[in-house]
Amino acid sequence: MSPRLVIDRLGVARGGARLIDDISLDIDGGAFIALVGPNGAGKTTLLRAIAALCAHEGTVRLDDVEVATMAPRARARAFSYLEQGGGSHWPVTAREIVALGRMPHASGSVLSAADEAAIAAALAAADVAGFAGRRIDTLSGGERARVLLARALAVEAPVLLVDEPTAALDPRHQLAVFDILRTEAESGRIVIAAVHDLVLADRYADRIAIIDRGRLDCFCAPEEALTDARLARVFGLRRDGEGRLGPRWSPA
Amino acid sequence: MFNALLCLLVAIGAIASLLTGPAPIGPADLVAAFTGKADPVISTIVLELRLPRTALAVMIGATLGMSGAAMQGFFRNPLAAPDLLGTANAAAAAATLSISLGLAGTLSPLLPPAAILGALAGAVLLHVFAGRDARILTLVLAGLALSSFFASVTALSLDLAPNPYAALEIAFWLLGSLAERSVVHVAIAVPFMVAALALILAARPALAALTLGEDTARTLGVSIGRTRNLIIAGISLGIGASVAVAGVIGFVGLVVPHLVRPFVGHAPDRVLVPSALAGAALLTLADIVVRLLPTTGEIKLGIVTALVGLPFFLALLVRERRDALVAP
Repeated sequence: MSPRLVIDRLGVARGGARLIDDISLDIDGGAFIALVGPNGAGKTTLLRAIAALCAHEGTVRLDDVEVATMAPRARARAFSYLEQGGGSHWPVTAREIVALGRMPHASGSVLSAADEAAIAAALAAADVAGFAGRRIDTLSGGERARVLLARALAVEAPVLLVDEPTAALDPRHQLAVFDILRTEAESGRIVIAAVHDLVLADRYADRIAIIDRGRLDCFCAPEEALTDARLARVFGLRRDGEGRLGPRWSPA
Repeated sequence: MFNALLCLLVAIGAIASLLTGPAPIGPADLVAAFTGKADPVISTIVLELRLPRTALAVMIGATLGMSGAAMQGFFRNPLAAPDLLGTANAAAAAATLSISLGLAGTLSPLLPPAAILGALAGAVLLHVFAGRDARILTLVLAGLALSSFFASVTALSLDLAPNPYAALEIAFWLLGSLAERSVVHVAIAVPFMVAALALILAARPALAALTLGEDTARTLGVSIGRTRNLIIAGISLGIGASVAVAGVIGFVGLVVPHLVRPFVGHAPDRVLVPSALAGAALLTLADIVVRLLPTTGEIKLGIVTALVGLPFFLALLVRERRDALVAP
C-alpha cells in the first residue's frame, strides 16, 4: 500500500518567534518532494516537526494515524530521518552505523535475517558495500555522507526525511545521492529533502515546496515553483544571463 | 570470545587474590576452606578476610569499568569518567559528611545510601551544567568544578569530625583501599552494584544509537529521558556503593574502556560488558600488587590506580588534541 502523509496547519514557535507557521502538505507515496528556501526559512524545523522531534501545532498524519500519538518504535519504523551535517561520535565501522538503522525493528541486539538483508540492500543502494568494514573516520567526506544515507535507508521506512544530504559533496557525489533518493521515491516511498541547490531540486523533485520565512510559498511542480518572479521575491535573485552550465543568477 | 578471555582473567585474578596475604595459604587450603574441611584459622582467613576482599575487588572493578564506559557512551566523550567528573567525589563528600556528623559509621548499612545520594547529586549537577550535547571542554570544566567543590565539602567534613583520630581514619579511607573489608561490606554494597550494572545494561541499545547524536537516536525510537535516567541512576548506585566501602578509586573507569576498545571496537554498547570484566580483572590485580609490595604499611589501592592511570590520562589528552573524532 502506498503511504499517504497529510500535514495539516503545522506550526512551531520558539521563544515568541514563529519558526514555521500554518504549513499544510498532502503527499502520496512515490513522490520526491524538495523543500527549498533561504537559510533560516524553516526547512529543518519543518522536517523535525514532521519527524516529531519538536513540539508543534497542527497535525501530521501518516495513513490516517496521527504521528504524535504513535509509539516511539512504531514512529521510528515509519519515519527515517537523516539530519543535516550528522556524523558519528565514535570511530565505528560503516557497517555498524548502517546496522543502527535496524534498531526500530530489532528485538534485542541480535539481527534477524530480514535485518541483515535490509543492511545489505542499504549498503548496496548507497554504494558503500565496498568499504562496509572500514572505520568511518578513515572515509572521505563523500563516502561518509553515503554511509549515513545508507543508515537512513536501512530503516526501510515509508517516509524518508533528508536534511541537506549533499552539503559537503562534490557535484558527482551530489548527483549520486539524488539518484539514490529518486530511486527510493520511485519504489513507492515518500522522500522529503531539504535542498539548497535549485538546479538539483528542479531536476529531481516531483514537486517543490518553497518555504519563505516559515510559511509555505508554494507547493507545486518545479516549472511552476522556480519562476523568475518567485526567485526574486523569496531568494532575492535575478537571472542575468546564461552561463556555460545553465542560468546565471545575481543578487536582485 | 574476548569476553570469555576476560572472564578467565577475572577468575585467575580472583584465585590469585585468595592466595595472596601474609598467611601462607596454598591452593589445597583454599579447596579445603571452601568445602568446610580446613583448619578453622585458615577457614576464617579465607572466607572472612580474603573472600570479601576479593569479591569487593571484582565487583567494584566491574562497577567502575562499566560506569566509565556508560558515562563515555552517554556523553559521547572519551574523557568522561565518574571519578574524573566529580561523581565519585560527591559520593565521598556525602559519605564523610554522614560519618563526621555521626549519622553513619564505616560499617553502617546507611553509608552506601548516603554515598549513593551524594553520587546522584554529583551526576545530576554534572548533567545540568554540562548539558546533553556537551563538548569535551564544557564537560571537563564542569566536572572539574564539581570535583573541586565536593573535595572541599569532604575537607570541611574532616574538620567537623568528632576527634583528630576519626578525621585521620576518614582521610585514609578516602584514599581508596580494600584492606580489612569484611562480609558486612559485601552485604551492604554489592546489591547496589548489581542493580547498577543491570540499569546500565538496560540502556545498551540507546547508547549504541547515541553514536549518531540525540536527534537521530530519537528517530530510531530511543527515549533520551529514559536513557539519561538509567545511566544517572546506574552510575550513582554503582559509584555510591563502591565509594562507601572502598573510598575513591580513581582512573579505572576512565582507562578500562580505552583498554578494551582495540579488541571490541568503539561502539558504546559493545564496550560495556568487556569494560566491566576488564575493570574487575584490573582492580583485582592492583589489589594483589598492593599486598605484595614490601612497604611498611599497605599502599592504598586508590594511590596505585592513580599512579598508573594519570600518565594514561595525559597520553589520552595528547592524542585527543591531535586527532579530532568524527563528531558532527
